[in-house]
Order: sequence, then C-alpha cells, then structure tokens
Amino acid sequence: MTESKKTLKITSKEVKDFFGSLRQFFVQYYKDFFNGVKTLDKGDLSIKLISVLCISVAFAFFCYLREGTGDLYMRVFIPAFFANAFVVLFGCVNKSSRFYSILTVFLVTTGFALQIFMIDVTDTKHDPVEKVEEYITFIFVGLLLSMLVMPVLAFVTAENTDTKILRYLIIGGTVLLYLILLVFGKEVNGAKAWIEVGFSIQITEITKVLAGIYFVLCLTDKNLSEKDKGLRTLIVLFIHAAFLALVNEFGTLIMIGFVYLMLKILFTKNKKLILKELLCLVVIFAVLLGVCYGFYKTAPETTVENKPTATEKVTEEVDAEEATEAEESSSQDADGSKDKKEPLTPQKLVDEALERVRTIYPKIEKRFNIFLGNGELTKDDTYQTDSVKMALHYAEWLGTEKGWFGFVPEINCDFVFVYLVARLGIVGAIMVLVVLVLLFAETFIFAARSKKPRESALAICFICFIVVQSLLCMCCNLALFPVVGLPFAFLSDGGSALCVNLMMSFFIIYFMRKECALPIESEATENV
Amino acid sequence: MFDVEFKKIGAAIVSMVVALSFVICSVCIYGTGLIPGVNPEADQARMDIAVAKRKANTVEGSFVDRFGNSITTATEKGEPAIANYPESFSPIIGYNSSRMGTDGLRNVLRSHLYDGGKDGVGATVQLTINASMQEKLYKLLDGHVGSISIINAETGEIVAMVSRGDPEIGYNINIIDDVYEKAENEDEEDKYYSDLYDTVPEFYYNRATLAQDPPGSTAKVMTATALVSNDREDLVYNDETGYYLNNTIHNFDYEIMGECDIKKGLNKSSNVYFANAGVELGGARLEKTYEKFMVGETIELDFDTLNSTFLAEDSTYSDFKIASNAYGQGDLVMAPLHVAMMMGSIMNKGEMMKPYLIEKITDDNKTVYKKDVETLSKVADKDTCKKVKDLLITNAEYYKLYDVFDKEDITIIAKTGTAELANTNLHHIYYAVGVELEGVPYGICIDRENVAGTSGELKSIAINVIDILMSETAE
Repeated sequence: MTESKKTLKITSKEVKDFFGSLRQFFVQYYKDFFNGVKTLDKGDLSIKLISVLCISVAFAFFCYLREGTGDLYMRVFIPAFFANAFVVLFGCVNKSSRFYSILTVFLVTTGFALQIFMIDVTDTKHDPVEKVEEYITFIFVGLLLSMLVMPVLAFVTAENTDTKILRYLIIGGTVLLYLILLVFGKEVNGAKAWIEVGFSIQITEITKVLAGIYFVLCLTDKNLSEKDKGLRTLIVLFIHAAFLALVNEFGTLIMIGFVYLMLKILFTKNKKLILKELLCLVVIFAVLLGVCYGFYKTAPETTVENKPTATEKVTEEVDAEEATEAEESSSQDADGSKDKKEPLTPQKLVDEALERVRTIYPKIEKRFNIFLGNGELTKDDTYQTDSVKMALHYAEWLGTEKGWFGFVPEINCDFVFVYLVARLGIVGAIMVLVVLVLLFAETFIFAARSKKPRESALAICFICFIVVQSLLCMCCNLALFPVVGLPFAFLSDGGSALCVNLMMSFFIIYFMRKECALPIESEATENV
Repeated sequence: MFDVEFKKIGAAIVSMVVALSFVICSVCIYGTGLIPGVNPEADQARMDIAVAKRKANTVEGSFVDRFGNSITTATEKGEPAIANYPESFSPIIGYNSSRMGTDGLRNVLRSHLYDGGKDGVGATVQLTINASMQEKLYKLLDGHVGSISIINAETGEIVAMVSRGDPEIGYNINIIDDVYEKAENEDEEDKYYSDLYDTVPEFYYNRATLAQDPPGSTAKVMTATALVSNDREDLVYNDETGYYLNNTIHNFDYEIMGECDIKKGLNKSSNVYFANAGVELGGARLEKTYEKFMVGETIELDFDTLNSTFLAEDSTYSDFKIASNAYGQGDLVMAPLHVAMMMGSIMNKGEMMKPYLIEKITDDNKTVYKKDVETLSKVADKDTCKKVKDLLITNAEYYKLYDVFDKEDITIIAKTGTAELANTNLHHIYYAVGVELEGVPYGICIDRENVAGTSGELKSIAINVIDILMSETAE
C-alpha cells in the first residue's frame, strides 16, 4: 500500500521511533568512525598524504615563482595541508575506494591559491594575513560542520529510514528559512540571500541542499507511487522557485531545477510520466512568467531606493570601508548608542514583496537582453561582460604575473573563473576542468555499482551542485549563459558556500566506501 | 544495483558534461586570443596589453620629418617623448599620457614606438611632413580654428597638415598631463584649467581629417568635372532673379548674374548655375562623378580614416537635394584633406592618390615598413581634367593670384568656398588650391571655421602658403 492511501497524520510513536533511530545512528556513526581510525590502512593513508603534500608544495612553489615571495604562502599552506590531510584521512577511515578525496584536495588548494592571489585585487585595504586567516577559518569550520552533519546524512540515506517525518521536517525547515530570509535578509548585489548573525550566512546554500535531499527522499521512497513522487517534487520545486524568485536568487533556482531534472530522469522508471511532468512544468512556469509580466505592466511602482549603477558601484567599493567606518561613527548619538533602524511593519514587508514580484520579469528580461545583446543597453548594463572579456585577454598559457583585475566586478566570487584563467593560465583552467569532470564521472561510476540507491541519488545530487554549478559559473564567465550569480565550488570567496561544498564532498567520500560497492562479478551477473 | 538503463543515462550525462567541458575550453582559448588570427578583437586587445607592459621598459620611439629632422625626442624609459614642435605636430602625433593612454600616430604606431627590441628603444618613424613648413603654416593659422593641408598629388605624400581645434587652447602634447593635474588640484573658487579643459575638449581634434562640414563652393569643382565628363560643359543658364527652385536656392548676396556659362559660373561662384547643372545632370550622374572623387566612401589612411557623405542615410534624390549638393551644401560633407585631394587629382591628370603620412619605420637598424604609392581613384580622363584645370586657372586669374605669382614659375588653380551654417550668420570658409611646381602637382586646402566673413579673406593666407611651398621646394 502506498503512502498516499495511508493517513497523512504522524503518530507520536512514529516521532519517537524517528528520533530514537537518529540518536542510534549518531552513536553508531562515530563508533564506526573511531573503529575506522584504529584499523586504518596505513599504506593507503601514507600514499594519499604524500600526494597532498606534493600538491601543497607544488602550489607553494608555484606561488613563489609567480609572486616572488614565499613566506605568506608557506604560512597558508601549512594549515591548508592539515585541512587537506583531514579530507584524505576521512577518505581512508571510510575506506573510500576512489581518488575523490585527492581531487577535492586539488580544488581546495587551488581555491586557497586564488584567494591569496586575489588579496591585491579585492582587499587592498585589508591585511592579507587577516584575509587568509579568515579563509582558513572557513575551511576548519567547514570540516567541523561536515563531521557533525555526516551522521544526519548517513541517517537520511539509510535504506530503512522512514522518510515521511524527514520530508515534513525538510519542507517546514525550508519555508521557515525562506521566511526568515524575506524578513531579516540582507541584500547583496540585488539578491537577498544572506542573513546577518554576527557573521553572514547564505541561507540559499542551505535551502539548496535541503531541496536536493527532499528530491532524493521522494524519488527513492518505495512507499510512494510514481504519481505521488511527481506531484510532491513538483510542489517543492515551486515552493523553491517562488521564494528564490522573490529574493532574486536565480542561480540557485537554476541549480535546483537542474538537479530536479537529473534525479527525475535517473530515478523515475516510467519515462512517459517524466515527459508529462516536464510539459506540466513548462506550462506552469510560462503561466507564472506571464503573471509576473502582467503584474509588471499593471502594478504601480512602489518607492524603492536608488541603487548605484555598476560603474558607480566599482568606484564606491574603493571607499566602502571608509564609508562604513564613517557611517558607524556618525550613527552614534549623544548617548553612544547606535541609531535605531526603521521598524519592520507587516505593511512594509508586503510592499517590499509586491515590489519584488513586480521586478521579477524585468530582471529576467534584462539578463537575457544583456546575454543576447538585444535592445538598448547602456555601458552600465554591459560593464560586467565587457570587463570580463577584457580580463580574459590578460591570460597566457601558463598564467600571468601579478596584475590588477579590480576592474572586474565580483571577481572573487561569481567571476572567479576569469581570474583563474588570467592568473593560472589556460593550463591551470584546463586542470581544474579535468578535475571537475573526473569528480563527476567518478561519482557516476561508483553510483552505478553502489548497493545503496538512496546514497547514490544524494551523491549524484551533490556532485551536480559542485560540478555542474561550477561549469555553469564558467559558462556565465564566458558569456555562454546569462549571468545569474553562480559561485564556483571551492574557488569562489564565501564561507557558506565553502562549508556546504566541503560537507557535500565529505558525503560523497563517505558514499564511496568500499563495502558499498558491488563486486565486479556480481555486477556482471546482474546485467546478464 | 542499478539497471542497464541507469548506466546508459548516466553515461550519457557524463558524456554531456565532458562535451560541455570541451566547449568551455574552446571558448576560453578563443576568448583569450592565445591563438593569433582566430579572434581579431582579442588579438588587438592582447597587443594593447603587451604594448602597455613593454612601454614601461622602453625608451619611446621617435618621429623624424621627411628630411630626417627630429620631431620628438625621448631619453628616459617609460617617459613620454618631448615634441620639438609641439603645437604644430600635436594633432598628428597625439599624446602619450599616463592618465589617458595614447592618441594620434602614437596610438596607431604603439606596437612600434613602445617595443624596445634589441636596443630598448622604440622604432624611428619617418613622416612625409616637412617640419619647417609645418611650423610656418601653423603660424599662419594665427589662433583661428581651422586647418591647412598640402599633399603631393603625384604620390599622395602629405607634405604639411596643421590644425587648430580651439580658439583658446593651442594643443600641446608636452604639457597635457601637467595641465590635467593642475585642473584636478585647483581650488573650487579659483578655477581656470578645470573649466577650460572640461568645457572645450575640441582642441584634440585634427580638423584636417576629422571635420565633417559642407565644403561650400569648392564642391563646384566636382560638379564642373561632372558637366565636362558628361559633355555638358556648354550648359548655359540665364539667371534673371538670382534665385533657383522656387526661391529656395540663391546666389551669395542674392546677386543676379544674367547669362551664365561654366566659366562664369566658376569664376563668380554662381550657386544658381551649379544648382541648375546638378538638376540637369540628374542625381545618378552627379553622384557617379562625386563617387570617383571618393565622396561617400570611407578612405582608410595610414594614420586616420577619412569619411564623407554625398547623400545622408535614408535620404532620396529630389531636385532640391541634388541642386544643393551640386553647389556644396545639402547633405554633402567632407574633410579639408579630402578637398586638397580633390584639387590635387585635377592637377595630377585625374589620378587621385591615397594620402599617406608615414614614409618608413626603422627599428634596430632595419626598415620594418616602407610606404608604397597607391592610386585611390581615376576621377576623370585626362582631357576632362585638362578642361577643368584650364577653367580653374581662369579662376586663379579671376582671384588675381597671378598678380602675385608668375605663370612661368608656377601653375595655379583655385576655388573658394563659403559654407553657410544653419541657424547662424557664421560660415566655414575654404580656399582650395592646386599648384604645379617644378613639374610636381600639389593639392592644398585652407579652411577656417565659424567666421563672419567669406572665403576671400583667406586669399592672403593662400598666397603665403604657396610662397612657403615654393621656397621650401626650392631649398
């Protein structure tokens, strides 16, 4: 009997069982982990550690040759080495049978190098060491979070876990996070994807992962009928689409949409149903876009602050730090307390939401116009693409010497690939591209031989978030795709994305443990 | 665990990712321009970047005139060369500014001037200009906005080309960075440079090549050529009113000229006669002759591009349009250098040569560039040109130029031009001259912008220009 025919009500026994088994999983996971440490294959670990050392030293030497100084890089690569060593250790403890961990190390190290190179580009007023320490902190926080989240992911992907409560929790959590974002979110470059809690957290990175987990749970649940799976995933996709359009985070929406399609194609047996769902999806999106267009044409414009143009923004960035300091000091009143912000009222929130809905269509239209070169485009409109094109011309086969690329906006984040090409050269870019393809292929190959379909599905979902997102980021950089603000996994600046990417990589390493792989013979027999 | 279908779809997805990676790789290599010749835009940008990198370690190459006299001199690496005749050469050579990059010939030849080669010094560029003549001609401009161009009509060499774009500012490339620095650091209350340089940027302009104005009656030379080419030189028009086409076109000062033939039309510069000639010939035939004079064509020179217009875009033939164009107004616009080329081609038996400024470039004691003479167009056959030339000689007589110069020493043809400007009482005035001196034909154009008077006031300058040309040639 499928779940749809059962009651939707969750009993207290089910909840109790759910949390009981989650607790057991936690205990069991760490027990297994420490057992793994005791029974480590020292030969395997040594080889991998030497590889990590070689990669780190090679990069340090490369940086020395490029920049002419070594001390900063050595100071960076020692913690980088330990962080990477931990990734490799995790792979060995889980008896991960593949080279995934080494490839991840390569990406993390490249990210380190680029962020260090970029100090002169983006943070001229910051102490380089401070910037590097910040990056290292992100890495270690990412490692710690990954270790904490791993048991949960192991529990989620266990074949005998009841997914009903999990699915409700995920939907509830997702909506809650989006609501928090809409009310308390911080807007950066037009996208309201961050909240400030002493430090910035990119909420959409978390909701992206939650969306992936939900799709996996739904599509691999044997208790759900094919139609139910289709309906539920579609609803969740629309929840994400609606909120992400409201916060103007189209990059994340594209990635969630891509993962949805990928998992649908791979895990739905009835291919005709996929076609029907896709058709339905296209029609609904077209209708929604039409509604946005209608709203844009008919709704009156509400009062919005004048936003600076791209060129103004670049000029402003130079003085951003001084301005912030001045603002902070000026906002102190006679009592020394800071000025209070305007209170958030429901009316204000509704007005803001309506204004956001009104601007969805023109924003999409503008991105496409810039991409296609249609319509009347100002210099500000094409500033991003023009400056990226110009920065590419600095590239050599083996990279360039220290150069100023501050004229490219968001070069440390959305346009980091251009910086990679310019500084590490075409050869460096090709190496990163090869690593991404190997990561992708390796995950798929292992998934095909895995005993655990749910783990495979989540691993495929995560590898898409890492690799396909990076490839799309490259496409945006090279004007092969409209600029939608997608960061490059491990290379782009941003703590939230780095932590989430590390967590996803840890899961893939965990997924690739030897005990989960089918032996080649049995695989052959099964195929026959 | 998974079925064969999963593996097939998985393999297809991985293949797509691999294919996408190849596309990214290819676009990336294309975008960078690392393979020369594949992406011209990137090639140009890479050249600029390379030049900028080399520039800091190179002593800027120098310019010399046709006799090898130094025009610019540089001694320090990365520092701009000093112009020895700054104001007369500034519009041609252009600036090398730390804040604005390069302009003029310095921009066109940046790959030569800022490439140190073996000796760490940029190339030496020999120009066709006579520096001494250039200086003398610049003085003749006397602070007025305008230009003087002289080309050797037989070869296309530009012998002299001076220009002034602004009545207040004499363009001096040696002090451009200093002036802008002063402008930036001026007090708000005591502004001089910042106001001057912010509101009057035209001083960069090389009027001789960039001005796009109606040539006025100098265009009648081309209409006369059209009449002769089409066997209509016997055309006579009885001007009884001084007006033409329902009073839309009139002669200068509304003069009634009576019975007018081509000679009288040219001598007295009758607008009515040439307006009628244009209508009689028809738009197609008139345009054909103008096209032979390269009007409406883009002429790529070794230092700039010459543009001109016969009929504006989206414009069609009408009697008024043809009549207006035929006497040098209407849609017709061309640069003063083009007017000099026109006169030169009549003197050179109908051969219009491509003007050039760069004689040769030498680097590390090797000649890396040498200009070849190039014919642009055959404006008319020899007989036609002879007839037009004779008519224009009578013009020179009519202007009393032969009172100053001896016919045995020099052959002179001339045509004045006064272009009326819309909504103002000011004019652009021209004095177009062709001379043959010791068997060498020259085309000359003198122009002055926004003046209240007429082209006749340029006569004394024209005499001086011919005089300078004669003395310099004799030397």
